[in-house]
Amino acid sequence: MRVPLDWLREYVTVDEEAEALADRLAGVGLPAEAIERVGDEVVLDLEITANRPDCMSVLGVAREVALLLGQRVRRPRGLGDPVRPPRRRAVAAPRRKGAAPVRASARAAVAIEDPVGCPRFTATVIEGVRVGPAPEWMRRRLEAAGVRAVNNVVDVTNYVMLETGQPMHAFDYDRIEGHRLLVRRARPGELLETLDGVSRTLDDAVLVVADAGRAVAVAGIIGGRATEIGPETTTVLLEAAYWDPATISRTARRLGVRTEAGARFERGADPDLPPRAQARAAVLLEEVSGGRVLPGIVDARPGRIAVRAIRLRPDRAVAVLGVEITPGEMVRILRALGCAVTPGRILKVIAPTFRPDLVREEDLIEEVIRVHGYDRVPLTLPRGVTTPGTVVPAIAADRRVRAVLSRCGLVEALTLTLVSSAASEVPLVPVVNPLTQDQDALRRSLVPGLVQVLATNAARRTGDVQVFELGRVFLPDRDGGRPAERRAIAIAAMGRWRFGWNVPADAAVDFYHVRWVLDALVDSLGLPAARTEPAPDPAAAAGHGRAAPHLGPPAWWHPGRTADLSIGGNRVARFGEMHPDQVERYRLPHRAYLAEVDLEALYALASGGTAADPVSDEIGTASVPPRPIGPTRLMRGLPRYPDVERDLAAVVPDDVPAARVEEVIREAAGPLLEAVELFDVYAGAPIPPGRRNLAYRLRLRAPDRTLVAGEAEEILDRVRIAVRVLAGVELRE
Amino acid sequence: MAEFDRLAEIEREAAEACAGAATEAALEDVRIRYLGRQGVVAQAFRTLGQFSSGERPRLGQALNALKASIEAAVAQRAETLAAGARGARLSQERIDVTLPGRPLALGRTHVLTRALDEIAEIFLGLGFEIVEGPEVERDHDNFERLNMPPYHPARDAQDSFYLGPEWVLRTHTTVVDVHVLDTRRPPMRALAYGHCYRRDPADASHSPMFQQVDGFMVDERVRFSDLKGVLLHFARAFFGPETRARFVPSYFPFTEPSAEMAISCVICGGSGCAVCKRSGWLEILGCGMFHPRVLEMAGIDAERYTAFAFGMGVERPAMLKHRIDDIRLLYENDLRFLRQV
Repeated sequence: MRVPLDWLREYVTVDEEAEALADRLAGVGLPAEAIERVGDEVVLDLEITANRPDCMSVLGVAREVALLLGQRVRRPRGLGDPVRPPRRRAVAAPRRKGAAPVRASARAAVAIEDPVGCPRFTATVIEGVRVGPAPEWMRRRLEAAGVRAVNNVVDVTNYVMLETGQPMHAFDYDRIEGHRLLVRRARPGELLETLDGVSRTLDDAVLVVADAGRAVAVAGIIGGRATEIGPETTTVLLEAAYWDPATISRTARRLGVRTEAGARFERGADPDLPPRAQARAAVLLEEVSGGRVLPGIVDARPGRIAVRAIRLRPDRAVAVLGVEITPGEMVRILRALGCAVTPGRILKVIAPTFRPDLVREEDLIEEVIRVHGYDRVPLTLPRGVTTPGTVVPAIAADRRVRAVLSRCGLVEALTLTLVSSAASEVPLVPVVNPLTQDQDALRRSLVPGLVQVLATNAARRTGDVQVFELGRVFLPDRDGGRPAERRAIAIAAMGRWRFGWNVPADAAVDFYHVRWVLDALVDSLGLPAARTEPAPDPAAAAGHGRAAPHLGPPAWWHPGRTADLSIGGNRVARFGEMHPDQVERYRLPHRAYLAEVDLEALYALASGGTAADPVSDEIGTASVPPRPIGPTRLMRGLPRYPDVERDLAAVVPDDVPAARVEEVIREAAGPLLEAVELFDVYAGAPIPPGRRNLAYRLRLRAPDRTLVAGEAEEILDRVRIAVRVLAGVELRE
Repeated sequence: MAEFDRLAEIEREAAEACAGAATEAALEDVRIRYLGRQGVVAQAFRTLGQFSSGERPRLGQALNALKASIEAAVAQRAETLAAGARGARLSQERIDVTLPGRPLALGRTHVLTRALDEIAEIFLGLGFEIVEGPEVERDHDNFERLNMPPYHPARDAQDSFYLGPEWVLRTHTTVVDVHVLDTRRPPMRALAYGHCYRRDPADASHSPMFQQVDGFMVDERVRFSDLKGVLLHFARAFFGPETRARFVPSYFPFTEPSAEMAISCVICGGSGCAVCKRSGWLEILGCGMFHPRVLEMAGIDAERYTAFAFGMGVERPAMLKHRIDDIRLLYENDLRFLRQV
């Protein structure tokens, strides 16, 4: 609400500077967004919250200022007069000799079909109007308040709206068929060209003002072109009504029309104001348009606005606020706000008609403290029962996971959940009303977002990027119900992971780095080591659709360098090298490696459930500390007896997976094998083609004695035989 | 007796020879010459039989003393030489200590994650449960349960993304409060955080997706003054002990009275600067006493229990704390930015 200071001063004496005034207004909930100075005009641009339609007027703000400064409000001429018009002006106007003055009700009629939507509608008639520009002072004020001047008649309606808060509408009387207005629901398909030049198709949810033939205005929001005031208008029918807020709000949204009038009605206007605003407008219209206001006013009031007394218990107010305010002070404050108060142990309060927001005791408590001053409320800490602070398991687990991933050297990224559906190969959850086309759906995978992070950084000449994101992905529900939300992690990495001078040029991330990070992640949740196997061929995977809907789509992955990671038969992650076509498409400077983890499944497994049990958003029901995700890690003391280390080299055909070789080693070695570490992988002379050499270091140890060389050799022999059996492997000492 | 003089002479010569040995090899020669099996001392022992039985014991003692003395001299010299050699080696190993360090790629969490964790930690200490909820909510829960019926003007400020007639991307984490109120009975304190969404075009201070923290406390005798006390504690814990807080009236459909909390400007300390638009104050959160309707809808006796609630975006406090001037930097994921904190 833009309030020109000199306009405000017409109703209340303000000696303070604009800044000081703005500061005090902020203290009662009317903060200034800006203080503008245009020439010698000072305009306060006040932020008005949705509950204070009464402050969407200069007079309303004047009431608050008067309250703050202990002043009285001076009412403008006409406003508050019972009914008018000033005799001498009527006498001066031409009329038939000897006849009584024609009353407005003789010239115009109003009927209301929807008393809920329109509890009150007033109309007056002004004759002999000469349409032209409004006087300079009025135009200046309107423009300072942000309203464009149109002509003297329309300007008066806007002026009265800005002054009093009552929106009004002026019709060209002669263009109203039958000179009778009807408030009704629009007929389905009914057309109305509104003042903004838009031709609108209405339906029966829209309330309209109509004449005998057609709709002439959208009720409370915008007038129609056909009956607008033009240069040839001589007789004006002036409307001032009270409309049901919900009806106006619904219509405004349905039609997508936001107007000053609509904004006031939808928040709740003053049902007592229409006739008084008519009186005020009459004074101004006679002054600026030379018109003659017919005596009398048409005032249709089919709906009754209930006025209820609100009970306020002063002790309740003190208990809620935590500050001592005497009942007498409360009465004083409420009366200053315009309430009628019956004192007593419980105050009976009738709010003024311009405060539709005051309906419950709490509303009054807020008013009391608003005026008393929020800054006079002391600072206390809560009393009573102490509650234990707890963290829900999933959030606590998130923290651990983020810690593990960042300890692995990854930087956390945060990308937008809103993505483009055009780029997706799989169906996404669509946003019905997207802001932009590239944000018209919810992500189903975190991978595309992180690939974009690689690309953005690469484009800015940062080629060494290792990032992760922990967030939610969304899967459409096949029956159109609630989309599923799953916690997920993605990793994207390319380029060097060690920096500085003389660092080997090949210190770049690769597939096995990502593998290691995933192992660390799985281990941190107390889960058994995960198994990897080559991801199914994308072409084949496309066939069995729902295989792993939350794991990135096939096109991302290098077909020969992609793996699925599973725990106990549950597939929980896919990782691998980014498809070279994608690397090229995103102009990445290096090979890139990606991973996507179904964190929801990991958490469920770590909690002892199945991968399908969701763990997100579980609030729990009791205030006992919730059980964390994943077991408490147990630790062992250091070994008492020495170990024996033996190296083993296995030349195996290329198609025997290393995981299988290791498995065989473990099985054959038995319980005394403490660790097996692969330390070299070699292909080339003298190893025959089609084979490679895997070199393992085995660490053997008995928990209760020193292992003798003979025992170690025995174990090694078993292992050698087992490995040889595995697909005819040759052993080299 | 001349023999004693000779021994003294040997001792003196040996000492000189030790002192004169410039290297460990030369010293070894000295040791062999005097202490070796054919050495001077061994030969002297061999002449012992030539002396009378009366002289032999004294001479024997003198010979043993000579041997010990030479051994000591050799050992001492050996130590000196070894120290010198080590010193020489170490000084050869001198490096340029001013070369830059070799960085490890330190990973890190996002600045917003850390701000969220920090905020949660503060409220955890105040006995709050840290909880979460879904990002897709029923329109009914997101709005009606928070006293915003359809067509409520306050919905304008929270223009939302719809996923269908019923489902909406939550516009505030206050909706998580509703779920907690439904599943718990007082006394309770909870803090929820996570992504929220509003249809605000992106600019320096708006993002269609943002992070919000929302907390509340329900108990008998919870007062507006408790809200002020708790939030001032938060502001001081997060922004520093010198922080001041100001509460002014505001409006949220789900609180009554409603307030906005501003903190003394973290840049200028309250004297007025461009960041606080010369006001000295920075608005950071909205708060108030839960509207009785909100409690009633959750089946909580609003006469017996009162509640305070507050909510804030996390970007703004984080931006103020780290002097970030554009919210888009937080979601751009440029490593040059992310690696700064």
